Amino acid sequence: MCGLCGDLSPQDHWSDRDPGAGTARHRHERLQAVRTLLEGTGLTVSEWRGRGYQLANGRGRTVLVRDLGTLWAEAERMRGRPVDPLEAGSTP
Amino acid sequence: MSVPGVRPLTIVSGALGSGKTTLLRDLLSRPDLRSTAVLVNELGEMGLDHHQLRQVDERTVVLPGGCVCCATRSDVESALHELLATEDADHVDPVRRVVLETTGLADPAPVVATLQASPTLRHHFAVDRVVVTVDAQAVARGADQGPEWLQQVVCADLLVLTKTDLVPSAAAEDVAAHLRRLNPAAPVVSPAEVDLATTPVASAAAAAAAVAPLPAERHLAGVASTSVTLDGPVDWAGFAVWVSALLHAHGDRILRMKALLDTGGDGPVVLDAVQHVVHPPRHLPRWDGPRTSSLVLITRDLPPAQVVAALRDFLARRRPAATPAGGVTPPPTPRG
Repeated sequence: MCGLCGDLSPQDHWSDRDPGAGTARHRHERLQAVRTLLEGTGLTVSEWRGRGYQLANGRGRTVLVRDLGTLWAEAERMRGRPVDPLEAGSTP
Repeated sequence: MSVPGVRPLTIVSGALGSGKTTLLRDLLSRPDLRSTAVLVNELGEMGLDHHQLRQVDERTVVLPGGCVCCATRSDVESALHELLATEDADHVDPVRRVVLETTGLADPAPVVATLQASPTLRHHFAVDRVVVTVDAQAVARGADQGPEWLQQVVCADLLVLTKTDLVPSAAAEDVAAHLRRLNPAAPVVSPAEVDLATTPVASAAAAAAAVAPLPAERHLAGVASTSVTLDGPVDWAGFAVWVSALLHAHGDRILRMKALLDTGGDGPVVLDAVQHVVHPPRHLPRWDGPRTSSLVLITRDLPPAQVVAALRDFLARRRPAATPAGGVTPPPTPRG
């Protein structure tokens, strides 16, 4: 795992070092944004105890991840290819 | 003796013979940089008489499973820990700034990664800018500057054009324009104009604004850049999520991303990514220039326009539907 996944410092993805990242509102908005990117991928996400995310693939596999870095890495593992925001952006 | 909080660490880089040492000598002679520690590769070659001079040997360590650009600099880490230990022992005055001089072959990104990876150092030092010297004569005559040079230019927050007296002024202008297109996030200045006291964010915003009308261009080795403005305010949570997914999927092709965002707060939010290494977002207290969100993007083998279009599309999908004209406005919340 490398810096793009935030795992140079395992407890601290760059997005979590934002001063406002801990608020419930920010977490909610972030979750909604992740859901937007996961549309059409077959994956779903929900918040896990305010400390991470629960990622599911609809076939009974569920994984807990702690931050956005590990979320995208795990999403890639679950579907066999990365969630590509450039593809999502071109979807009507 | 009290130790200051987070202190700026300035990286000075550039090709061999491009004027790094001359620039450093000049900077360190200025009164406002008196309490500066300097980390250099070659003590002998510097010819600097500076009380806080330390030698580092550019030991780059690739973390297990990590990619090359996320490597860390163990020599820098050791030198900074040593600096802190010396201060703790109360032997010297605390430094206010650290300047790290790197060789022309060094990639600045691992230094950023080093500070972020260290739970101790990141509370004491933060990379405030990467200053890269560029030999105008060498670039003007078309000398092959190599991939390391390109890497340093796209990582730069400030490009210092040296030896302009050795080329016609028109040629120097051409080199400066070339550099601006390669890296719209970095102002191109003369050595005399370098002022480490200015905020790098403000200068970056000014640089981006200055080149905004230029179209995206394809450059050396598939490298392309663009500088755009975004309709604000920008949904910060959505932006951060989108960027994190982008860097996961295409991080090896995003050489640099620098964003100054109007998120609806009093001041802008700054996000700076050098390859895969993302600086922690900064919320600035106020705007120094116009309240406009701007984004500078430098890519390799990926059209920046495609990235910008996808981002705009995502942000538009996330934006709540506008209140129809004549719609009901909610009553204000009673005070008290």
